[in-house]
This record gives sequence, structure tokens and C-alpha cells, in this order.
Amino acid sequence: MRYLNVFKGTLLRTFSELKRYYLNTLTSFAIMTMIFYFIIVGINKFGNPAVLGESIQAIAIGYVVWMALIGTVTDLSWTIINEMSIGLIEQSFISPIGPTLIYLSYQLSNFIFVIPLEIIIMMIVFKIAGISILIPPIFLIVLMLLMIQGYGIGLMIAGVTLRFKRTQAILNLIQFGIIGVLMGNYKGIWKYVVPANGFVRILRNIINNNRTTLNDWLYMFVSSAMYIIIGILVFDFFAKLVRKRGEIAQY
Amino acid sequence: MEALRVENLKKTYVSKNKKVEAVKGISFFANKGEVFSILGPNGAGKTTTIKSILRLVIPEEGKIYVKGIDISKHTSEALKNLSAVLEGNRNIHWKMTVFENLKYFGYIRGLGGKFLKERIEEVLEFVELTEKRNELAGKLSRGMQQRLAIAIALLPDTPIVLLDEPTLGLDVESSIKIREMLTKLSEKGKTVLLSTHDMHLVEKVADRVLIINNGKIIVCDKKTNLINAFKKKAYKIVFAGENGYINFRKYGKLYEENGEKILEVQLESIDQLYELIDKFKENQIEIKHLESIMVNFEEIFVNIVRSDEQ
Repeated sequence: MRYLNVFKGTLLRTFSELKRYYLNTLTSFAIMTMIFYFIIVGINKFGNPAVLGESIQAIAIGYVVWMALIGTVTDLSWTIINEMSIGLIEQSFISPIGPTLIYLSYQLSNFIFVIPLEIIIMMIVFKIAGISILIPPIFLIVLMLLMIQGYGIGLMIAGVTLRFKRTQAILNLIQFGIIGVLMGNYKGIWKYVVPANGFVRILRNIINNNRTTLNDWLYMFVSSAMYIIIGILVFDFFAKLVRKRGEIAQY
Repeated sequence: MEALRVENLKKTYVSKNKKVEAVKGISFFANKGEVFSILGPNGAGKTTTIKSILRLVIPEEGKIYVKGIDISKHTSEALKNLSAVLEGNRNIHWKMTVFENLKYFGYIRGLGGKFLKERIEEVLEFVELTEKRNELAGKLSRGMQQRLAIAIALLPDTPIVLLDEPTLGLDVESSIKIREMLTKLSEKGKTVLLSTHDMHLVEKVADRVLIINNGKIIVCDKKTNLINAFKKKAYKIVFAGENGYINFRKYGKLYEENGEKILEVQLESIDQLYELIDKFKENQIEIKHLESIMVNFEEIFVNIVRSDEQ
């Protein structure tokens, strides 16, 4: 029951922040959509007409994945930086529940509020790209699994932020790093280990022929579970380390 | 009855190959229902001690027992008995209303349902913020923000409450309100651990006082004992006559106030006072009035810390 209460708390906080910063939220989503629109305009003007349809589809899916990952990977770190600077973080550390579960719950709350917004943007992006906006339900399930993987990475980076504090520059670089990861053509074991990359291929298959294999699902579940478990362990490690070093909130 | 026990607490910070021994083997206890004040100059080790009790810092050595529970072994269980307001009014979410703040911080401690609902109403009333429940925390005055931070700490109804600088930057009226709250808390049987530079607050509310300097305990005693110890040694002597007293300036501070000649002396014992009075008699100096000086706690603190540094 007390874990459910923690979840209620983080849900309340996420909702309050979304409500208070709604203009900021809407603006950032509008900018994301506009950027994609201009990318498509550019491709239509300068791209090769023979492969244009395929390229736009690939870019649209890549863009949706990129958007889903930026928030999931960096949001918790931004929250922690903010909490360290205004002095809220200690209360999470002195709660009998402990910081790891509280911030994991915070990510889950974030996930619940972000998913509908993500779907709306995705539909707009697909409309601009000329892809049917009637997205198959399994596309959304895959997207959610991808986001869970992203939250796992987010926990690892948040752990690093707890220890090293001023990681803003790294967080800004991560959005470009994600592009690199999504565009890379990985072989062998790296195909499964590098985050998100495999999801893009699966998502494209779903859009093209609404088909997934058992291997795809196995990969996605194992990969997401691995990243979230490692994320929790890494965050927990750094939470203990900052307690030992006496560095909580020394922003 | 003991609520908190700290045994041989040691903490060293390492930064860029530099070691700083913040706390060097501190031991003390706080009883149920008492206001226990931790005092010391900046860098004395107060915050490290408070943070160690809250497990925000893990010490290298020493044991901390919260209601008999070893915090290093059963952290979650021990933390259920502790709540805190740290660094003034920092522990509140400025973009949430007063009510949302209470709900949020209650929830993240695992509280909920009827208990949380009732506690929110109780603490709002206690800190006199019921009418401000729907206001954004960031728009409250500093004093109100401080009271909200205290309300958040009181929400889980823990037997031990730690307050780090609760009157920092507050005006007189707000400080008085906080002071009244602390007295009420101790009357309710809560153990309040208070770390502050506000000596007036200590003088008014503390039952026992721990003074630390350079990571070591200088004194740990009842506040009344400390005040009595210092009160006995300081005297104000008002002379009746005009002559002779000038020779006694070597015994203390000689000055004039409203036309009266006054000598303030610090003595080791009451016997020395009698010796001094005998000397006045020998020199035929008449004393109009003699009183023991009520030293304030600030002076006591400064005296203790200075003598430790010497």
C-alpha cells in the first residue's frame, strides 16, 4: 500500500508540474513537430524521388523514437538537478521508502502523462510524413517497451548526475548521441546490446507489414528488462555512494 | 527515556586528496520530549552530525540508535521515526500549493488514506496555514514557507523531529511563532533536535545543549546548568560614593551609567566576591547595589567556544 502511495505522490507532482508549466510543455511539443515538418519539406525539395517514400517513413519512425527517448533518458536527471539546487532531494533520501523507488515511481508517473502526448505528436508526425495515422496497437506496445528501456538508461544517467552534479552539458549532448545510436548499423552482439537500435527495425516492420516475430518480442522484453534492472542497480549504487561521500544536494 | 543515541560518531570528507575531519568521535543522547540543541560555530560539525542521524551522510565510525534501532542496519525502520526540516525553507516545492506540498511529501513517505488526510488538517492548523492551503508555496512569505516546511516534517507524526536553522532569515514575529511551535512539540512528547545559530531561540526553548567545535564536544549539559554556571561568576557592583573605586578597575570593567559608577567583574567563585567586598570595606568604599548579571545564552556560547579555542 505504501508503494502505491508513493506512486500517487509522484503522479500528483508530475500532474502539478505539467499543469503549471503547460505552456512550456506545449511549446516544446510544437517545436518538435515544426522541426519534423521542416525536415520533410527539406527532403521533398532536395531528396531522391525514387526512394523518397521509404526515406520519409524511416525518418518519421526514427524521429518518433528519438522524441520518445530524449524525455525518458534525460528527464530524471533534469529533475534531480532541479531538486539538488532547490533543496528537495533530501526529503527523498530521508523517506523510509528510499530514493531509488521514489524516482522509479516518478519515472512511471512521467510515462503515464507523456504517453498520450507522445501519441498525439506521433500522429501529427505520421500525417506530415504521409503515413497512416491509424497506428496498429502493437506499435504502441513496442514504443512503450522502448520507453521503458529509455527510463533504464535515464536512471543510470540520473545516478551519474547524483554523483557529479553539473551534468547539463552531457544531457544536452545526449540528444545528439541518441541520433547516432539510432542511425548506426550495428552487427553481431552489438545489434542487441546497443539500446533502441533494434526497436527502430521492429517498428518499421510493423508499419510496413504489421508483423513481428517471437524473436522480436523476446529481444524487446529482455532488452527493456535488462536496461531497467541495470538502471535501478546503477542509481542505487550512486545513491549509496553520495551518502558515503556526504554529497547529497551539494550542488 | 532515551529517544536517540549517538556513539562515537566520526566522519572525514575527502576532496581533491584533502581530508577534512568534520566529526571526531561525538557521543550524546536525546531524551523523549526534550528540545536538544546542537550548537557550534560554522564548520564545527553540526550539519554533518544532523545529516548522519538522518542517514544523508554515512559515517566511517560510530553508531546511531533511533528509538533503539541501529540506523546502519535497519535504515528504513529507523527513518520511520525521524523527520526533518533542513536548511531553512529549502524543503518545499515552490510550484505546488501548500496542500499539494503536504500531500506530495506525505505520499512519498508512504503515507496515505484517512491518516494522511487527517494529519494534513492537523498540521495545517498547528502551523496556522489552513487559510493558505490553496496558495502556491513560492508565493508565501519566508516565515510561512518555513512553517510549511515544519508542517511537512510533522506530517508523519514521528517521535523525533530534526530542525536545521528553523529561524534562518525570519523576522521577529515569525521567529516567535516557530519558537511557540517548538515548545508545543516538546509538550506533546516529541524529541526535537535543533541546530541553530539563533541563541535567543536556544535560550527560550532548549532543555539540553550540546556545543561542538572542530568536530569535538566542548560541553553537553542542561541549559539551566550552563546559565547558572555562568550567572554565578558575573557581578555588577554600583558604588555609592565618588572616591576610591578607581583603584578597582583592575578587577573588571569600570564605567559610568546615568551618573552612577559601575564595576562589572567576572569571578571564579563566590569566595572571591566576599574577598572583594572586604577590600571595598578596607578602603571605605560604599556599595549602593550588587547584583549577579544574567548572562544571555549568546555570551555563554561565545565564552565556551572561545575558551575551547584558547
